[in-house]
Amino acid sequence: MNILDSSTKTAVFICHCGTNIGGVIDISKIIENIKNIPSIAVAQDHRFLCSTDGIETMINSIKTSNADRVVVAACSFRTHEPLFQEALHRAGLNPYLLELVNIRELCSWVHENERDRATEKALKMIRAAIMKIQDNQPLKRIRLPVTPAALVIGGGIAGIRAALDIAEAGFTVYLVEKEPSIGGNMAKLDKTFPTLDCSICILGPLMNIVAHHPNIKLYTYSEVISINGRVGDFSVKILKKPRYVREDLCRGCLICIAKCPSKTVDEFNMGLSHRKAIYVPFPQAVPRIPVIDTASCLYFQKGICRACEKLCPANAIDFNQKEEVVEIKVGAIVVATGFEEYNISQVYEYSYGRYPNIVTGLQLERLASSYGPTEGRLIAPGLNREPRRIAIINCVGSRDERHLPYCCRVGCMASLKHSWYIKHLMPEAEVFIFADEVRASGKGFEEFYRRVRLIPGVYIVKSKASEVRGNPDGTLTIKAFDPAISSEIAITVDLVVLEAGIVASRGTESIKNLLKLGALNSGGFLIELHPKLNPVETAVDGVYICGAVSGPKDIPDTVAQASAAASKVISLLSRGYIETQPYSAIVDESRCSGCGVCSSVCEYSAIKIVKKKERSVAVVDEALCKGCGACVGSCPSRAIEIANLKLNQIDAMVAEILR
Amino acid sequence: MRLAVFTGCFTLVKQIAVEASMLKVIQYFNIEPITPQKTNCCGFAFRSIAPNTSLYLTARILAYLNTFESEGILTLCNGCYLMLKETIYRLKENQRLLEIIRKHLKDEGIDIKSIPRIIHPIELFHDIIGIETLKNIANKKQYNISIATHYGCHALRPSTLPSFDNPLNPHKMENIAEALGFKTKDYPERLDCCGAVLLASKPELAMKLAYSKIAGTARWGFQLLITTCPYCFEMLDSRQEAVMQMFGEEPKLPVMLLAQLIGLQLGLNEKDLALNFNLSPIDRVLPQILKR
Repeated sequence: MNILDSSTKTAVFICHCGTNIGGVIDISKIIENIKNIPSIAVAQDHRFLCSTDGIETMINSIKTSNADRVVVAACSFRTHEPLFQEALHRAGLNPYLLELVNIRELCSWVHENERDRATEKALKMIRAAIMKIQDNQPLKRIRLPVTPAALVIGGGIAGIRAALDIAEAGFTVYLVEKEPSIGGNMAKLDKTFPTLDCSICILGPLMNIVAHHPNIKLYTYSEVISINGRVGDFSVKILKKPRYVREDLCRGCLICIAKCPSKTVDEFNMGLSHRKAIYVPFPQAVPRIPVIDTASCLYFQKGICRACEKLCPANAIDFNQKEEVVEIKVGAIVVATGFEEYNISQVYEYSYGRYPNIVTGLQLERLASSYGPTEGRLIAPGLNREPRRIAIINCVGSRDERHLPYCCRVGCMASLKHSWYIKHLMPEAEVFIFADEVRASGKGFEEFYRRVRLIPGVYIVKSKASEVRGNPDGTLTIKAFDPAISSEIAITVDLVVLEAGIVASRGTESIKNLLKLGALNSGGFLIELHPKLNPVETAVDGVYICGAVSGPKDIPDTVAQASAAASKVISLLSRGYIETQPYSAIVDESRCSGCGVCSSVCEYSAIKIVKKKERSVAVVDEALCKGCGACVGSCPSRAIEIANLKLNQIDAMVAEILR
Repeated sequence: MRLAVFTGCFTLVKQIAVEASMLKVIQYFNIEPITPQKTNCCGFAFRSIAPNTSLYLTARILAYLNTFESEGILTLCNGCYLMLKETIYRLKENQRLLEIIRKHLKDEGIDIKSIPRIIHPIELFHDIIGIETLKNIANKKQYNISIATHYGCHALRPSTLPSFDNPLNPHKMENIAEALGFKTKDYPERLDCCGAVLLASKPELAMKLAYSKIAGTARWGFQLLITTCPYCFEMLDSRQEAVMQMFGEEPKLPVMLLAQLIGLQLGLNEKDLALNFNLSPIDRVLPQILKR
């Protein structure tokens, strides 16, 4: 199409964005240039096009000039396209007759030091957009129904809060937890900072409400194995691992556990004690139904014993239970798979795993807990006496380019809380915290920091510990450089607590792959759609994230995010429908040979090959198509293209840029 | 296999056992050593005060050794090993410097034509001769001797340079000792400095470092410490008596070179391995090793 004799009327608006664009690009020069293009009905600039005044001016100009398509040269479509589309709508135009050219992120910001060439580039970009928009067609969004149910993956505090909020709004929630009980990491904590309330005392009631809520279907000891479909209509397969205990019969008397002769390492107590082969992870577990661990059960390993089966008064033991796949349909998904401690044996200089009497922060939580391996007594495993001097080292693996470059956000407060535990259990003990800085920025954190550092016998060394060394007598020596006295110091202690860095939990990557969520942040965390404006959304519509799965977080932040994700789900489910974006792929059946390359490259399974009049042709499901264009590039016959980004439009843009 | 052996100054003037034991031992593994006569100092001594001079000196060695046909350069000293390795690394990343140095070398009629492989003794035994070969020598014999390994700083550090082992948690020397039938265990002083680099500038501090290395290692009940570096050997073996006396203690830790230990297993006699030059109390452990 030749725009010199075009019958279309194009309006062009260029935004200065204050000095963001106007300070680099010579906008008046661009206006002068494009004014001469015959199809241009109006070419205007504005200091802030997204202001109320800017939008109103734009609408007026479109109306008075009778323009039938609009090019806006401003910023990113990610933040501003909906606003300008709405302006077109108000001016009486179809919103898809808009082309937004990003001359800020893609031009002025990156070419700040070469203004002439930046102006030249912006002009090319705008002229190319004018060429392209000549062939834009009015498009329509399609409304599709939403299944009024949600899936929440992960039964820690984030998943529990999100599930409860959605269930309270009246929607069905499927809560899936891979462990035998919900509760997550918070159930392992003895107390929470900075208020020092008992962790399980505030978590336990929520766990019980989840278990009995009429709108919540709880799947513990289960994993999500496949997710298909789209926002509003996901079908999900859940694998229920066999407990070998019938949930409908078990009364929770736990006689089976008392009689089980086989022992293995207790994961819930972070390896500090042993549990039976049939077990509930902790006394407050929800549901209170035991699980048989086949790896340590004598029946599964050697075919003997069956003590639990003989002694169960409810006949609930069933060694023939098989795994079961449940299929459900949901409209939205919340991922709350949480965190775990970094494997700090890799931080070689701190000797974790090389010498006894070195524990992680979570291990200390278990030692301090009344339902932990020592019932709340502090011991040094290799010493056989109560430790008298204890060192706490912060930032183990965190803020370390060799390991995790980011801050764990909870270690500083945890170290203060752990000092408090120690002084509370053993008032005579001496505690040394090695922290090159203490970050106490949350609500009540600074006050807690003051409270702990004023306790006699708590010493805060403002330094990163350089090394932990074992001694033959079982004690440990911490070496550090103390900037306060400008000298190396060495402190010998009985127990070392390492505040380990935080990484996304092990299952996060497989969930990411199931949901096609793209890349991961360092530490394996999922990436939010926008770090400031869309913190709980993801790149996939209808999939939300909350809690530590998107980055290290303390409990208040996690709970706030969980409620935020829940409210997003509720607003989607209660509206009852979604509107799809209309940029879907279109097949030119006369050119299509039905070779199927497009359907093999489609990430969203949106293309099927079907028989039509004795021929095989590709057919696109508009509800599934995201308009990514992978099929366009793969098609050998140029038979498939994206609405409003058709091949002739791309050709026109390239021709204009190379002109 | 032909290897050019770069002895380094310190071995020649102070620790001839390092060269003697290594040359004897590698012949058993069909390695033909070439011992160039006209090499210069590796430049390690000037590394901090005149970096470019030290790079030039090392580059000169590389150019000179180019004239011999060999499959690599075996460096006996950790300092030389670091200099050769680091020089290659620096010159690869700085073409301009490489050209300047080549110009000076051409004035002398030599040139760097190819980049040789630089081989550390630990790498030689672990990766080239191989653990399986060492296991065959040991012939399944197990000794009730616990060996402390000492790599020496410059074998592994700085950790930013490519290394033959993990600079923070190396294990190849342990693998070698275990293949030979000895026991090893991790100990906190394992990667500590022997103190040698401070001998010229702060001799007392050097002795103090050597003391904390020897005394710290001894308290874990090791019967023997092994190393490969002539400087470390000087501090831990030759000067052990002086070091311990400074702090009112007696020598207590037998120290041997890795090549000496392997040589004993090969059945070489003590004189061939220059064991008569060891000054630490190796008599405490020697009978147990010789008892085959």
